[in-house]
Amino acid sequence: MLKLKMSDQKGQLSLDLLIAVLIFTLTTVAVMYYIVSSFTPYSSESLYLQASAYRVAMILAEDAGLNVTNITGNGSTKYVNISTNWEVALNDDNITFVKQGNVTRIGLANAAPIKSSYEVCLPCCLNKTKVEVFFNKTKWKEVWGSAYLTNLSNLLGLNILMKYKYSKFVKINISYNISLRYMNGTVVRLGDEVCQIGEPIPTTGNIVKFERLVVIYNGGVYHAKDIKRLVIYVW
Amino acid sequence: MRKTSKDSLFTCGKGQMYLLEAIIAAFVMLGAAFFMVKLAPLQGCQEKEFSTLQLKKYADDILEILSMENTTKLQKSLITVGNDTTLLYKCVKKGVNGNWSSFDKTFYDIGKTLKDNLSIMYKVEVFKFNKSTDTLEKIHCNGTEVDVSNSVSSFRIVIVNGEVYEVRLTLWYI
Repeated sequence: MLKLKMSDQKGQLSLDLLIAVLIFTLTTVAVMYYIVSSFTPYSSESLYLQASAYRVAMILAEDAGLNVTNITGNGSTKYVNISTNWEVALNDDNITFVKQGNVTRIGLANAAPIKSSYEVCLPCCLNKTKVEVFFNKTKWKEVWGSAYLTNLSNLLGLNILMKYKYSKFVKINISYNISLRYMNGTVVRLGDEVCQIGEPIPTTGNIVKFERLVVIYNGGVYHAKDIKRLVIYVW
Repeated sequence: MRKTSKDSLFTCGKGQMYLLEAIIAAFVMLGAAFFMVKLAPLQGCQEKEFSTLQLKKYADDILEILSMENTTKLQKSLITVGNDTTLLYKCVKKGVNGNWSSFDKTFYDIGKTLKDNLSIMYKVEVFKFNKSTDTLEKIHCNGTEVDVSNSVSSFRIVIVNGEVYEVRLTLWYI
């Protein structure tokens, strides 16, 4: 019969001691962990990158953009005209208009023909003119010069302010690469313009991709061959 | 030192655990467990949720595209109604009248594109709402008849001749 005696010296394992110490240590570590974690940010880098990729994809695929124009009427009366045709100013080479901040948001979706407000758009149904203008790097360079990617990221909602716990707001610049591709991954060409804009995609690091399936509006019904991929990379 | 050469573990058969060894053992075990937990699951869960979200948006977008009207009556609506001109409506209408070929062809083409380019499988089902029993009855199914746990579904309501039909598209990664 096996006898367990704590007082003798014959190699017994004091299991109860180990359990007691383990419980004590576990409690100590848990308390330390919670104290330390309360001072560290909750969000990881990939979390806000995922949110940013999703947001940009949603804005481009489901929103028609926003154009705000101040109109001076008779006397001191001022009107604000809100519309979705942000692409018109760029197409007309109205650089001053764009520079003044009248274009406040970029979206590629078609505005609904029958609509109650400028917010009614057709999700996943892209306007061909908006797509052509958006991917026209020459036009953006005419407006903002070599810094056009930074200015463009403001219109896409990518230059964000983030607040960690107990910290001040920190401005985070997110790099991006946006492209319109066929289902097999080949980048679409509209005329002379390759439908891709942004910085070159790095080969390493934390890169997040999100896609939407879209069609370019042609007034008809859409089949499998018409579906394209709007691909957003952020890092 | 607590142990001498006389009473060491290997020479005299004594091996009782003292407090210091117990504390060290406990920390080693906790450390190992902590690093295992810390390294793997949190990021994995985020990635899985994000890829599921991507799959869901694929399904939503496909049904959205098939629900676009081909006239100037384009409108944003969850419900495809009455005598409209959407491809989804036309396909379902033909189907409930006994000919599901155009419905199957439409989704087969889309499914093939998804499988070839994005490694995504599909299944599409059509349910009819039974007003008397308040239940959905499956009347047609196309695609792979395998349910997997990581699939996501999206649906559209189509009303044909006053009857309510639900088109449910299920996608999953191969």
